[in-house]
Amino acid sequence: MISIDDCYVSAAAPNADAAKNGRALALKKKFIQLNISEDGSLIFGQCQGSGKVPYSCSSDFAKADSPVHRCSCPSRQFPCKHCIGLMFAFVQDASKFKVADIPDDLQAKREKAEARTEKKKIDASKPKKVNTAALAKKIQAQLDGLTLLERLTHNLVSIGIGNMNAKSASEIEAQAKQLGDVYLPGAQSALRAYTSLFSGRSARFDDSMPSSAREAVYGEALDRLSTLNALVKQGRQYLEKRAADPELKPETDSSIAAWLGHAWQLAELRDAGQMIANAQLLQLAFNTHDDVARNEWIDTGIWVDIEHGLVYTTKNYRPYKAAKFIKAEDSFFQVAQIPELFVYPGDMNQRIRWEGMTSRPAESKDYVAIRKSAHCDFAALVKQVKGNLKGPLSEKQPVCLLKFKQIGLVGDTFVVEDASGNRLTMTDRGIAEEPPSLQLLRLIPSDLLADQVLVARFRHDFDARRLEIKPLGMVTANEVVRLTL
Amino acid sequence: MSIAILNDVYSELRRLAIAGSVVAPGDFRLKKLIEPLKISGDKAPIFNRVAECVEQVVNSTEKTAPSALLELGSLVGSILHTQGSTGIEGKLESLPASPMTMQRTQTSARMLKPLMEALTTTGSGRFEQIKSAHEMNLFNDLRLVRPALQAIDDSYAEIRDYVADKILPIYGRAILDELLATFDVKGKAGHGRRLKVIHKIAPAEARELVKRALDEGSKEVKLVAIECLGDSDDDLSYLLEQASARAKEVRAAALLSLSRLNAAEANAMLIKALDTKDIDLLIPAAQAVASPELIDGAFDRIVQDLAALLNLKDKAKQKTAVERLLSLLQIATSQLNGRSEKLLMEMFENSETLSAIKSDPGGGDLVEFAANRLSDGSDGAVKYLIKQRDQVPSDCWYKLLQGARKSLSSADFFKIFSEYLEPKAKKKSPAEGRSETLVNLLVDRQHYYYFDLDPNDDTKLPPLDAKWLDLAIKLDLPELVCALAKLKNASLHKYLSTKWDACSGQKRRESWQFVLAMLQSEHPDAEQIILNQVNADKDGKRNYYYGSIWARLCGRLSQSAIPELEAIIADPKTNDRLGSELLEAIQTIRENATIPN
Repeated sequence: MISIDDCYVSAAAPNADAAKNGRALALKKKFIQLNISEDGSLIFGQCQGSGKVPYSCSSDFAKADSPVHRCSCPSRQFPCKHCIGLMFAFVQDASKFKVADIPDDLQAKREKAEARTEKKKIDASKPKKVNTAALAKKIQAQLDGLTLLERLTHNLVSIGIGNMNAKSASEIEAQAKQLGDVYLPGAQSALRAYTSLFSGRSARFDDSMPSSAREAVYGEALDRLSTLNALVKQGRQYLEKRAADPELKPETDSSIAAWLGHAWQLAELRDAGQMIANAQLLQLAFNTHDDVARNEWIDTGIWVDIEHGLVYTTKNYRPYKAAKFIKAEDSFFQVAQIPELFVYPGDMNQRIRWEGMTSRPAESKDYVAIRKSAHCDFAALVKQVKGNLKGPLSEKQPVCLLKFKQIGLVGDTFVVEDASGNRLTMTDRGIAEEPPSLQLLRLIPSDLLADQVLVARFRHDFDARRLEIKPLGMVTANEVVRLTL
Repeated sequence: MSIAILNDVYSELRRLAIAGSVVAPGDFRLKKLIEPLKISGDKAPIFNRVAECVEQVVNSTEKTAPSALLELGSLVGSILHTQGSTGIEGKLESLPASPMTMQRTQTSARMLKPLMEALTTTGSGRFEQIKSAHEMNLFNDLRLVRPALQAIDDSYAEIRDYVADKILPIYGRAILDELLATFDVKGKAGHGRRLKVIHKIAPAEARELVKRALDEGSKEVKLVAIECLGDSDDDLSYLLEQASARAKEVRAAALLSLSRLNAAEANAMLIKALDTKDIDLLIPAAQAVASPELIDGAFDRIVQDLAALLNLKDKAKQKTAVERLLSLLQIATSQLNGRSEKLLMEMFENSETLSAIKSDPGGGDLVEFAANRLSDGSDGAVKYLIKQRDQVPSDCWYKLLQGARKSLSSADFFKIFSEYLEPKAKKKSPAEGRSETLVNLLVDRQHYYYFDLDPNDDTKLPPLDAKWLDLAIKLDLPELVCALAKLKNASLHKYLSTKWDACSGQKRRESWQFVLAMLQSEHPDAEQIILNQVNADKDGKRNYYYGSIWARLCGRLSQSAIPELEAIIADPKTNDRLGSELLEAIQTIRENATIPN
């Protein structure tokens, strides 16, 4: 039986327009035929389009965790608006779907898909051969790339942050393109993260800026130079180790492989033991931002593993050039039930991915479990966060769950306090990817300001030399109150 | 750990990073920190490591300085990350209880983010987005409070007014503090809007603010303050005073507020204004509140003034009287009901007499006003006008026909109005005007000339009678025939073929309507005619405007035409622009057909 709701269908749509258009098809009753298979695993129908012949669309939930959508329309979006509309129509009134035999063409496609899955399983079980000569060549190219990165970084330090301008930043960026050619996209992004402070659409440094505003950019720029330096050092060490032993697997103790641009395959993560079976996740926060340094949109989800209380992140990269054809992620309000959850190497808030999932409504017991896993002692948590922050390549703005006693004001500063009286100050500064949330604390009901669980993002402010947090949401006994997206 | 010394190192390091590592070798200020670092190193060995790094920077050369500076930066950065201060001293005060009742924060990012951007950025298309979000009740989410507050100063007038009138009041008293904090009594229109919202969500608190604005406010704020009056009897004397102010805007605002008071003195002032040059200022007041006394006053004056008008001989006096009557009519008929429709019908009965008044504006304008207003009225009013159609001025016929299309059946509409289709009517005669207006209505030019627009789904008009097409063919009205081709007719194909065959050269290029009509009526030659025409003009050497239209027509062909279109595109003689448009046409054909996965 198909278990989907309005929220599920909206999230399945590749973008807002597809969701809107799909909904409109269902509302305007454009479906001239609505059917469901006898076993209730497949819905299919015919939708009147602009042409004479209606489109045949179907949503196959034979594998509930990875449904297959098919349509005879020429759209390159996937699932197309007709499949979205079909699912909306099912959510609106499932009784309108008449039981019918599965059409022959769909049955044939189902069988082919089944055969493909079997083949994939067999292929996955075969040991993969490493082309050591090609790997050695690639590693050498990467090492040469790191030498280039080192030279560019040293040039930047020689010039001085204060002497950087849009022109010099653009020149460095032009040279940085070579890093992409030597399999170092991660290093290229790190370099662009520095130069983009001075050039490009998001340039935060401008000659006409007041000196106080420039000061803020200087601190950040110095931090990014240190990151580049660490990347060169650790990257070289890691690659030299791999060059010496081509059979050596990518490192899972740190995130260096990802920094150098290694695209982790799920099979690799499975082999490396980076897989959790039957995980149940709830999304705590979400944001979509335009990363000019990477030339792509990034959808970031903050999730918590209900059983273990660990906070993870999902990242969906949508390069500008292909953004139209890549599904944009969205907020998700149900519990994601994931048979195989793959976890990337890293420290706090490790990145996760999955191939298939089903959803179910979040229940009170889920919220209770999440609340139990929140950090009650701010002092211990701060120690853990600082330990993480000192690594130059670590996650610089980790998200944690904090069980607090009270949120209030000291003067004009928002403060959160734990049961032992440890305090953390709150800010919106320096985290532009998410909308400001601090002032929303004045608008939420008073019962949310005491004895609740806060979802907070940490940030070390180099200029103020303070570790502060930004509130992203609250986990109450029966919901997640989102303060950002 | 001695953080002060580390902070000093970081400050010097930062200074050198800003200036560039070329100045780092032998830096005196950094060098001074080595000894204190070594002393601290006795207690915490990490300081010795920092001292070593500092020494490396100081002793570096121009070539090795970047590397040494980066090493020092990485080390100090790592240490300082572990030393960031947390917490704050002082009494923790509870946040004041929020008056906000809504708690929903379950709107998806996909809906919320574009809406936040629409409220806080610039660019086109935002108003529709905001309006539609309001209609979908999306603003009932506390995350939109601040973006909505920001939009009160939007650069686009429709957005800022919509936000102030419709959206901000949703949040009630929760936004009162924010509005009060940003309100400037001497500010421009944005502050006027703030005052309006404050008055709407907290009238009692706004009272003092309104009084202050009246005393010391800028012109824009003062005008809004006057509009905010009228809810209390205490306002009466002030408003009466302002109703005679020198500034016209102030008098208009005062009259609008007086209309809300519904007090004897207020009504007296409004009625008094009916006899002054401020009569036009009463129109918005009548449309907003429609005070019965004001309406009665207008009715009485219309009767008297109409009688007086008929006795006037001087054109200048007639002009003044007609202008005044038009204003009175707008007030009296601000709400259409039996009484106002009766008045309009009575006036229309007198159209012959009124039309004799030839001033500008003259009696004809009064008749036109009555006819137009009746066309917007009840079914009875429209049917009355249909009965009197021969007396309705040609300029009012479009509205009359629109009303008739809505209220008559297809057959009755044809029966009554078909006789007015007179292509051979005398030039510039009323009959010609009526005939042209009828053609205009039947052709629906917007969808006729932009034939690839989607038809308007919202139209709830009865379909046109197929006899219209018969009549158009009989009267030889090509444009009307083409526009009504979908109605189909036995002689249509012959008519279109004859017309097309009669064209040649440039005339054919311009006569695409015949071919569109052929397509719509499934004429067997339509597709080939289009392909031939596109092929003949593929070099794009003639007026390209028509080339583009023919390319658009290609999008309506069947899949069997694709090979021929592809051959035209592949031909080196084909104009590039035409080639691209034909490619789009092929895409449209494919989208309109079913293509298996």
